[in-house]
Amino acid sequence: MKGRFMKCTADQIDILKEMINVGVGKGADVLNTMLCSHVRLQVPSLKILSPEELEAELSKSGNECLSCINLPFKGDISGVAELVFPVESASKFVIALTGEEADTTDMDSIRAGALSEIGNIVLNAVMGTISNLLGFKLRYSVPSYTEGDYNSLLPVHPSVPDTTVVVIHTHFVVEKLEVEGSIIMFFEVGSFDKLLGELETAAEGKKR
Amino acid sequence: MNTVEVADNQLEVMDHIPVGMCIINRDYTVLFWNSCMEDWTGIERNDILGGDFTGYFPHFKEIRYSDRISSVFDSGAPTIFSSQLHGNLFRLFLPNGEPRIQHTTVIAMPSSDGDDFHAVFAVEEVTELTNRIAELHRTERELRQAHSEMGKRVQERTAELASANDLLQKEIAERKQTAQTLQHERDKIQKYLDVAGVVLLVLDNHQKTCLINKKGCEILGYTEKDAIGKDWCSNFVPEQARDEVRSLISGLLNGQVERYEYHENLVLTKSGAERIIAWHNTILHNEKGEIEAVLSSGEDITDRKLAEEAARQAYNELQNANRELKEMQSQLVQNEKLASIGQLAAGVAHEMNTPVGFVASNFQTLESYLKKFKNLLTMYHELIGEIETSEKTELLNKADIIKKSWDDMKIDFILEDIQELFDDSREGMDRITNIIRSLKDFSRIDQPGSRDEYDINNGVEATLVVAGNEIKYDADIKTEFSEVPPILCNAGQINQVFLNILVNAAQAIKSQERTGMGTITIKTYAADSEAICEICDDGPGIAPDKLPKIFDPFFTTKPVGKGTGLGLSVSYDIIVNKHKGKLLVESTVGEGSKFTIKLPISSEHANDKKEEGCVKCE
Repeated sequence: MKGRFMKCTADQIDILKEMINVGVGKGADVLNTMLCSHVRLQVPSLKILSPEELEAELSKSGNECLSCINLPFKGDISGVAELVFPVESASKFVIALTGEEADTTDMDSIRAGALSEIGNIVLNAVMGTISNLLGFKLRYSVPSYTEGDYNSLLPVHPSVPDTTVVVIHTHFVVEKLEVEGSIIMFFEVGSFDKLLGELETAAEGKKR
Repeated sequence: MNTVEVADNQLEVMDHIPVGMCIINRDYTVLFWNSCMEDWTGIERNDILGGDFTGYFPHFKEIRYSDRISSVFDSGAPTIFSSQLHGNLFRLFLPNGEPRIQHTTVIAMPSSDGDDFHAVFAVEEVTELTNRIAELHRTERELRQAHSEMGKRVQERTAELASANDLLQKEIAERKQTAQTLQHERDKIQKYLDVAGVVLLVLDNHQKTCLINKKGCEILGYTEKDAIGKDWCSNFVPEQARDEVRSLISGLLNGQVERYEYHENLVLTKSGAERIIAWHNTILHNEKGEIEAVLSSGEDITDRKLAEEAARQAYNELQNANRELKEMQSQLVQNEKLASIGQLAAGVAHEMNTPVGFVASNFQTLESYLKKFKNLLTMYHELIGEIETSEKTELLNKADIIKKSWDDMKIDFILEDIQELFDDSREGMDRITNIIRSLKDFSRIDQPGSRDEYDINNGVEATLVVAGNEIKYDADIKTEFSEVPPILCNAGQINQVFLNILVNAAQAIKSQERTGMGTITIKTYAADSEAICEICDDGPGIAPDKLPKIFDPFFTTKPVGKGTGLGLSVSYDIIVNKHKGKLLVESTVGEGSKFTIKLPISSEHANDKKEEGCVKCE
């Protein structure tokens, strides 16, 4: 982790974090507009990890079942953006967001659909912000919903080298409910370096 | 750009999928409309193609939709309108008027010139799914409600049960309290029972022990725990007494007997020892008045019994000693009496002997004198006869007077009779002399413990002389004497035996109401070194039940005052103990009795005794 993180300058990280913050904020705006609710999204932390380190990180949650919305992207950079919650929290989040009168927090396909839309909004906002600001041209797949333990959520094998993972810890706050989730971005070989390069350029531009 | 930029035939495939598909460009001009959309919206493809999408669906102008859709055009990022968040996105209705719920995905399709994006709407109908899930949720809710109601009921029921349980617990506690009180009472009673010095025992109606106190346990050697619930008879009663005890208890339990005031019975202790218990039994009733148990109190009288037995034995020994003493005393008395009688007889005999002696002597002298007088009278008589032949008148006259007086005085008769008188008197004198000798022979009082040669025949004869007067009016005596060698014995004692048996025989005969005289037969003979004398009578005989007792001291069949009951007892002592002989009796009622006296003839013995006797005589 350290090695890879060492590659990044504080500026690069600041910019990345800021961009993500902007994207998340946009996503929240869209949600609020769409749902007429008051959703706040915060980004308290950002980590850059190897897949192995991510596995170690995720394994702390044990065998907890997770909900995951994937947004694969290709183009100037390639990878997968994921929004990850524990299933129960995700379900509660949907219920709170839609004002559904529900006695069960079980995830069903309708709720999964709603969660997909939310993920779609948030991830679109984040990716859209990054690609707009850094001038990347990206092609997106349709977001998909999956459930399983952390192993089944990893889009790449942990042992694949040079895959970089950016883990952004987020807080969704809807009414009295506070749901913690993560935005995880997997970058294929070379993509992260490219990102860093553009970030560097952006940082320099900023300085200038 | 009013036409679809892709070939119709390429899009035709979209008419065959159950998903509503339409394509619009940035201006919201409809470029494609598949048959599914035609079906759902009722808008013909030909009508809408090239038309304004928002003309048909004005709400898509709203910012919440337009913003999202614009991102497709701007960045090519797909957009999802989920069924949950948007419901009936296209405002479509089912034939029954129900809204169609849709899940719509909008993806970017590069325009044919590649400069722009078209938005491809893929509309999935999820009405049924939504309904199903809603129903599922409702059912779940109902179930949960039912569950919670059930839970509530369970809770209520649990509460009821709990309160019932509380009541029960309380009752149990009360019962426990009662049981404790009862236990306490029971302990107290047990304590009382334990203090009691007697066995207290309760047997149920199966004859099993249901209560036993400490004393009972001590005697049996079992603990209370071991004893309770056991069958009494088969565990604690010795085998020989079991049936009796069982039937006694059964009698009480059956109600045949109310109580047993006192009965002694055995118990069997753990060590196998037997104890004698004096029981008092009574029955216990239950509240219905039925007999339910037997209550027994028992005292261990084993030691007392042993003491009693010892006392009885001691008493018997004392009695025996007493009887022996009495016997001894009576024999002493008898001996004394015999001695006295002997002394008296001897004294009388001695005193009579002298006058009889001189009377006899004088009588002899008188006889000789009388002889002389008779001779002289004869001479006088002859002189008278001679005078009659003379003529001297004076003489003749005197002779006549004398002759007359002779006749008048019956001198001739006197002279004849006087001789007879003398003969009789002499015989009487002889008899007196004989009696005196017999008396002396019989008594031998001068040597009461000594032994002399004794002729049994002489002894019998002497006794007959003494007893003759007692016998002769009731019985005839027949003697059948054989020659018997002399034996060494105390003649006085043996004679006493003969006398006793003879007098008894005579009295027995006399006691009968009979016409003629009885007969007493005395037989003597020697056999097997024994001198034997049998004395038989034809009297009433002795009853078989009395036969074994006749030699016991003080046993008598004679009226009070007639006999002492000592005669035969003394006789037995004399013959059996003192002379090592035998005294036997046979008797048949109505026919008579036979006493047999057997005395040993031992020459050696006799010689010793003779010498001893001789020494004594000297």
